[in-house]
Amino acid sequence: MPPHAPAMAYICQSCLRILRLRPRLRLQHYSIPLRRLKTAATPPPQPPPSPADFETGTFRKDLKKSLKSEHKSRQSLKHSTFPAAYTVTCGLEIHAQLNCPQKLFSRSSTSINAPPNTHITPFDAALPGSQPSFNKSVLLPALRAAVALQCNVNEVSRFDRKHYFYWDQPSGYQITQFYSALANDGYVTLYPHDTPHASREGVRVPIRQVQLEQDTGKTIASANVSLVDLNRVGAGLIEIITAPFDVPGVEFASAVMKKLQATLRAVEACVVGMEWGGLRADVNVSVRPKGVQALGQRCEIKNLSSLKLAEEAITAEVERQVRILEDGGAVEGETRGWDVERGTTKRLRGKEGEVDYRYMPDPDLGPVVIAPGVVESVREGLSPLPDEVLEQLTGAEYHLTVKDAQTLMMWDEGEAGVISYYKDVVEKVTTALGTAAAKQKKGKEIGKIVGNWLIHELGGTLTTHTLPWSLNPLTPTALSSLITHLLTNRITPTTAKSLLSTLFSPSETRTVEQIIEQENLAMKPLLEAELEEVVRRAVTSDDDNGRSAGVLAQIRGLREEDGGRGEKKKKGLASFFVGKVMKELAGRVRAERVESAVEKVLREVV
Amino acid sequence: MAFLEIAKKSLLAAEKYSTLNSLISVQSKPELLRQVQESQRRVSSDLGESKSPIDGQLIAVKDNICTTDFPTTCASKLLEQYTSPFDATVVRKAKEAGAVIMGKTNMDEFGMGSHSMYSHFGPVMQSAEDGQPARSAGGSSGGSAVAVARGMCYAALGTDTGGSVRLPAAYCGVVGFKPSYGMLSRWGVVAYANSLDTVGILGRNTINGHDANDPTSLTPQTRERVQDLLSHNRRRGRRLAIGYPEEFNLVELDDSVRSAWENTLAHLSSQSHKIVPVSLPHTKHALSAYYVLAPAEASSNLAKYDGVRYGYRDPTDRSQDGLLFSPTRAGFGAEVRRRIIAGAYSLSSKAIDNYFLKAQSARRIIQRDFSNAFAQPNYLVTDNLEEGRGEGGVDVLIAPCSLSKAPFLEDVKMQKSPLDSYVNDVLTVPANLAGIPAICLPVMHGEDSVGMQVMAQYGDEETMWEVAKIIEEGLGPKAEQASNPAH
Repeated sequence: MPPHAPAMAYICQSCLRILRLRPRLRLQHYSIPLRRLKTAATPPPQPPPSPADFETGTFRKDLKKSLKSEHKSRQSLKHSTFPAAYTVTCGLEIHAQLNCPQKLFSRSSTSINAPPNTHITPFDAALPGSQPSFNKSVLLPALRAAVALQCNVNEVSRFDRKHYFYWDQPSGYQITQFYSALANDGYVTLYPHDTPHASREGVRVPIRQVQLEQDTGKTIASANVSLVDLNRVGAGLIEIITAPFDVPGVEFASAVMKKLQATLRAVEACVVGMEWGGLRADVNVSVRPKGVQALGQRCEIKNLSSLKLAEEAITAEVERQVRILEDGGAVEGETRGWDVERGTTKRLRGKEGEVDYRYMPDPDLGPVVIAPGVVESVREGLSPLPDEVLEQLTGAEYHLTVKDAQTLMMWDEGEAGVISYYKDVVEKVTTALGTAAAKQKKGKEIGKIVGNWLIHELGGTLTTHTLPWSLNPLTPTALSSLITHLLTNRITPTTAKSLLSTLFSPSETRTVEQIIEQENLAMKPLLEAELEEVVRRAVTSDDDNGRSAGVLAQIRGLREEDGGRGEKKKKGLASFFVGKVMKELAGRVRAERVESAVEKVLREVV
Repeated sequence: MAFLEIAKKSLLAAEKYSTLNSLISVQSKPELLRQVQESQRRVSSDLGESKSPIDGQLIAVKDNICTTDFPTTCASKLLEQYTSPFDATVVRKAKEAGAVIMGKTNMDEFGMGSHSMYSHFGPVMQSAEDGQPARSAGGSSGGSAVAVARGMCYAALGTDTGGSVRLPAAYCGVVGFKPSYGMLSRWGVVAYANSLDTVGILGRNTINGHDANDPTSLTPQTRERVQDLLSHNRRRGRRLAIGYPEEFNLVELDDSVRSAWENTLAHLSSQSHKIVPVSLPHTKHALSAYYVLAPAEASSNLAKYDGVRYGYRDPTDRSQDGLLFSPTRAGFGAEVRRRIIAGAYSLSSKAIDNYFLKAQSARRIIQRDFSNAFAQPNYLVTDNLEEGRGEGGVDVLIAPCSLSKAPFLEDVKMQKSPLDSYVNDVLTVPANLAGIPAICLPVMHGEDSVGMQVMAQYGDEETMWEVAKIIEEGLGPKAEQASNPAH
């Protein structure tokens, strides 16, 4: 199909606006749709999510679903360990979209779900006569990544052209950093909370290089025609290249990817994670018999767009290479791809078909020179790294379990602001409790209780209401007030839970205090005698079609039976009355008191 | 003469010499005259004021410089139908100065050639008198040179990567100026070899200046710094030291060219300037370095012409054998294909050390040769006033621009190897590799003219113009012809 004559409207209005105003745009986290890279091979393409989907929480559901399926596949993989006689080595090349509102070498804005081909300048479309102009603001997120990955940032780095033909690469080459990169020689450390394969001191995975490069366009393939969207062309990426590292189990490799992803996100170098297509990985895999020093022949698996795909591809590739070696063959160095449908890697090209990229210094672009002091100021302004956050959350200040802390952090990754909300609530509750706060028992620390409420009660209620975090109706003040009332025994846990539901009602405008007051929810200072009277009535009444009478008869029948077993059974039957009374009192009296009252009354009655 | 009359006369010339094939696109007569009248009104009205010395003048633009009013074809089948959505910065500036773009000039495809023969639209001819064989217009800006020489326009824009403005100027007997690299914006100039490409002028200079769109355009601060430093030690208006590079005196040099060179030096000496022999020992590597570097950059720059987004696309471009776009890319002419293949080879992982990298170091050495000859250092790379040769150095270098006067096109076509054409660039590429300014001007030798070039240190166009003026006044074609070849 011949291309249309060049259109005059080659740049969209919002790009023009940026040209004039250059505001510092921030990507909105909740507006990140799921992006499918392999449009050709994947099952039926889903319709693009409309903004309304995010508001109604479809996005969150999708997130949960994908996490669940990831978990499932992890479970199944746990059983398939690598062959014991071999050592597996991987090297990763991770490509991640930089958190920058504009492209690397043009002023057009980066976009995720804009209509196709609306964010293009002459340079992005490789029009004749156009030239790149380096967008310095891309350096900040890239430097944050390099510093967070403990790299040495090079004072001078340069841009090179990497040549290959593909229709989503308009200029016929990608501008990258081949001869001298932005940063080198870093590492990322994995701890037991990242992977069971790590010792307490941690395992270091060395990082060879962090470089800047351009993203490509997107191909939307169908049976007869391939459509090309150039919106993504020229957006800034960083490529992170690790040195080869031994992989004791496949989940170690994905733990490395996850750790890199979490680190990049924590320092706001990248906002879009792997499951959203903002991260892609090429994985080099080699195997060698245990005890052999020299690395085996490696194969590269290209373009893995999710952790799950990476794990599956590595597992299959290790199996393939081991099978070759077991059969007395030799692994050939080649580039392979992951065949989703067959569940195997497939050969893309061998050594003789290897693409010669003909790297050439870009003759239009000067070197990137990092002025003295820039790296230091980036380092000082860096947000805490995931390990630091975890240490803080599980430390003396917050007392969260590693599991709960990781849940919060994962939640925060998807929907920013969760952790700061958590900290805010803890602080407010602590202040409200004053000196009483210090008396919290072990296992009942404020941090832990707030964590439980946030993850299980608030999180659960958000899910049942299919609300995203950004539409959480509870302010930190509301939740902390609720928890404070609970911890000071002004309300019972049952009341607290129903209060939470009340606060989710869209028409609810009252404060927690007001609701407790107006609905008469405060725990009643019921006198012992009054309580006993209520219990007595519950035990002896026949207002429940004889059920109470039946239970009472059973308890009486127990008298003949001997010892401990009877006692136990009696307790179980008594709980029927405890429940009945609790219900009647709408949870305004603590269960322990009701229990002892029931026990006392039963002794009298039976 | 009023603008309108000049414009009409130019249009007549364009019609008369249309067989020379110097223009690919021409502005329609009514539109052209409308624009000229607008300038005329501006200049003649009481309130009005001429925008610049080129206000109302007709300018022709080489067809590898982007224009919104005409297609920009680069004389290639691949861009035959392509019209740019934006004007090149030099075109925009010329328009803002009041110039009227009269059309786009023919050239060697993508600027690759020395005779303007390798065009999808057919070769440019310098003359087509009855019974006379056509002579080469030089390349690759041959169309621009012929348009100026035949009075179709006041001046023309060309591009000079390895001599593409100066060689046609020498062959056609007009003035061709290649500024220092980075002075004139390349935004909108279709890249052949970015690190060597310069916009050249066959006429006068008004489009100088920084352009933020061109990352290789010198910033105002650098311009100021270079000019400030140069002004400290200029021997302006005093006795100049004029060098002639011995390595340019090639055996292949035509006798007429050599004697015109000697005449030029003699004339300058008679004006009491000092004439000094200079050695640029690495000049012998310049041509090979150029023919490694320029094709390497070209192979990269031309990768974008795949017919996917714009330009020509072969109807059979649906290959099943994995060779993407190859039928479309067969649409390039033979010379362009030759250079793409040569460039791709010299960048390949097996050859890059031996070719591309060696050529890059040769380029540095050649630059150093020039700096060792000039009195002033290259202030792009140093701030130190002491680094030049000082008293022992020269202010400008004088050398011929071509080995001979324009050859007959028939003879060129008979050449067996493309190398025979490449040799023509031997005198012009050193200035491109060094990034320094050079101007080619016609020096009369008997009935004919020979192109002589004046080269100066980086940024020192001022001294270059000073010497060019002395040569033009003494040895150029008759004064009125020299200052404005249209009349």
